[in-house]
Amino acid sequence: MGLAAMQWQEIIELVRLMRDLDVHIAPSEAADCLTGLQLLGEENYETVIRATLLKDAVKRDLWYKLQDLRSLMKLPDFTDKQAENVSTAALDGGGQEKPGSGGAGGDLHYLLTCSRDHIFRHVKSMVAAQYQQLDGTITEQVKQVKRHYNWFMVLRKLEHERETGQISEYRYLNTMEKLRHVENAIELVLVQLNLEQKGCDMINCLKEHWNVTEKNWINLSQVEMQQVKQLVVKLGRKLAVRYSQKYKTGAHRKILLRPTFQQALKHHGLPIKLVKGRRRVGKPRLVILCDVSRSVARFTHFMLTLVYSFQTKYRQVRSFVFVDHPVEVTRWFRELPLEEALQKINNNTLFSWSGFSDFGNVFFEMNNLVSYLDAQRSHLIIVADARNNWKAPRLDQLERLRRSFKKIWWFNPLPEEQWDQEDCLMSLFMPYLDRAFACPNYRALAGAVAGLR
Amino acid sequence: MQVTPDNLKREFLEKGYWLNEEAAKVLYLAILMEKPLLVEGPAGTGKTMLGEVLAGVMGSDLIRLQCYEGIDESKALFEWDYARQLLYIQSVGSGRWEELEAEIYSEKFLLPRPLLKAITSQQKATLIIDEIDKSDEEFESLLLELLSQWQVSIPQLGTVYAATVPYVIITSNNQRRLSEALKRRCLYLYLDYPQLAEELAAVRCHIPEIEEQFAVKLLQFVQRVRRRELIKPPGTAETIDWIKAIRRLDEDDEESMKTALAALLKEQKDLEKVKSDWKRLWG
Repeated sequence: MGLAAMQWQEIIELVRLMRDLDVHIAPSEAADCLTGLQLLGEENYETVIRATLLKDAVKRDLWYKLQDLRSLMKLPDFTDKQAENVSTAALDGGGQEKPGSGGAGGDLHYLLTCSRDHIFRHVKSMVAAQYQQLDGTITEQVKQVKRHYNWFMVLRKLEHERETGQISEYRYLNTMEKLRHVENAIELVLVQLNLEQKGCDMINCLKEHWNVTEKNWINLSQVEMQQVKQLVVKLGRKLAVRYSQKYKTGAHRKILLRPTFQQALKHHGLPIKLVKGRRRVGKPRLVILCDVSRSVARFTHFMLTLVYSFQTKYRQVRSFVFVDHPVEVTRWFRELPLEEALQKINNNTLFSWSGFSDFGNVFFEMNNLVSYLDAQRSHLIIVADARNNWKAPRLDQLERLRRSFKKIWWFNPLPEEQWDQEDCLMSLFMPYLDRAFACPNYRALAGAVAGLR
Repeated sequence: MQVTPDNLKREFLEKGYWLNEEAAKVLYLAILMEKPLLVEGPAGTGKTMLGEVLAGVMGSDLIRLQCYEGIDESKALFEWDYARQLLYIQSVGSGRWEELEAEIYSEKFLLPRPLLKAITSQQKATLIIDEIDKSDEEFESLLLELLSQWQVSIPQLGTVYAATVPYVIITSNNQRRLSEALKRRCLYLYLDYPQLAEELAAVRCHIPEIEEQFAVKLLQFVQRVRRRELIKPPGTAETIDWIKAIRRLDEDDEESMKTALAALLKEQKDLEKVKSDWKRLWG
């Protein structure tokens, strides 16, 4: 029971920390967790918390990271002797003929053979030694440490060996999994060092770095990108479902017999009041205009995923991508699987003549397409950062678009404080928009999408 | 049967369902805590079947509600039998309206739909709310009162309390985000594609006479196929179908295995991808 009490205290602490990081776990769920632990015993701790507290991937991921961070903080550092042994072992590992061997790549190979705790301690001793030379955000620091380990060279060699059949599929996947463990260890160690040595505010540091819903699009790692992508797909489907059942009443409607009878019951069966059906409102017609220039590539990827996931439910969505010239991609979205459609957009260059965003020209060309788009009945959604590369904004063309379309909404991946910096012309465009949303991360995007009516 | 995780595993196995360790424990918790169990996971991993077999194991009636876009309370909860109400009014002629009203808005004229049936059943029932992610957000809200208080409020009749608390299995293909309010009321189980040993046990449930070495080779292939980026990776049900198909054709012939792939993969592009990469996948 003593151990259970300790576990319970740990659960409460982690639940509180999760809440501080804006990931909510209800008191009733925590109570369920306690009941579950009492019923199944503390040896089933993992099963119980997964069943009662961690009901989606974001919560699961964050929980285990926090748990790892706690155990890392309790883990004793290597003694000098042990550290020396580590270096020798690393050198031995590096001496073998393995992909990426030579230099620090040997360390990485050595780590791939170690236990979890040993990886943590090894990474900790290695990273702590060079910590003062690291700069930037934790994401950038992780990249710098990975460079030290010759990470990308090892990865490329691994891919090559897989493609040429030198290693089996099983070994490839296994090594990739181990690399992910090492990457997690590097990240955790850096978080710990940032907290300890730079005296960062723990909540803000973790919120910025670990809550994928709060993390800026450009800071997402590959694994986090997949997580957020799944969230975006679900968000799109939620939106599609929400709009699928919109009705309104109108004057000329069909008389519904069953509700009329029901009403008549109140008057001894006399149908005094006729009940008329509700008229289904046409789903809003949407025209989406997505900037696919390099500066917004990550965000656009997610927005296109969002558009794709609800376009399959709407028949009246027209999608365009642009850099300096709009190109329609509606057909690709309707006919191809998501990945293939995105790939096709990436490989296409028709939307980029000069390679630089030119909103003025895009507005001008969209005006030429207005009649073909049934603009009077459509909402235009622009997804872009409004960075115009110092070119003419051609506000007259945006004004024409405003008159043509029913509404114009703008989703900007930049935080609002950056809307007037450098070549970003958002404040110039604002008077012609019905609404503009700053969407620097998933949470902001979900909030903006939820607010659309 | 005394409900324990081990007993559940054994009973499920007898009914041809291989319940993994974690699922058995979570199911045990759901039964003991009288909580609905939200089961998420990719298609074909046995989420609905879990509920069906549970009904058999617990000896309860199975009540299933298939969700779809637009489902509402008249399809899920209850509806008044208007035609019978009208006939009744005509048959009794004129009378005091208050008495008549009490009569026609009584349980006699109520058509219970699956949710109401499940909680008014005198014997504990098993309720499967299937593919909840296909329904609308409003429908999720409709479930909240039922799943937390085990009661339903009917405006004309008052509150109907559950005679027995049913075993509730809610399945979702994880296609859209479910509301926090719904998830809060449930225990959660993620049924992923099974590991090799688990899948072997599931295959043996259905094809007990299969030779182990041969089954392992086929399952290793399926596991590799699932790691490829496919439109629809094969679930356990498809794997079993594929193995059955191979056994009907010719076990030793690779061409037969390729022909039988139609039972494993349901998308043309996936089929092409796997056939073109056959050598590496087959290993």
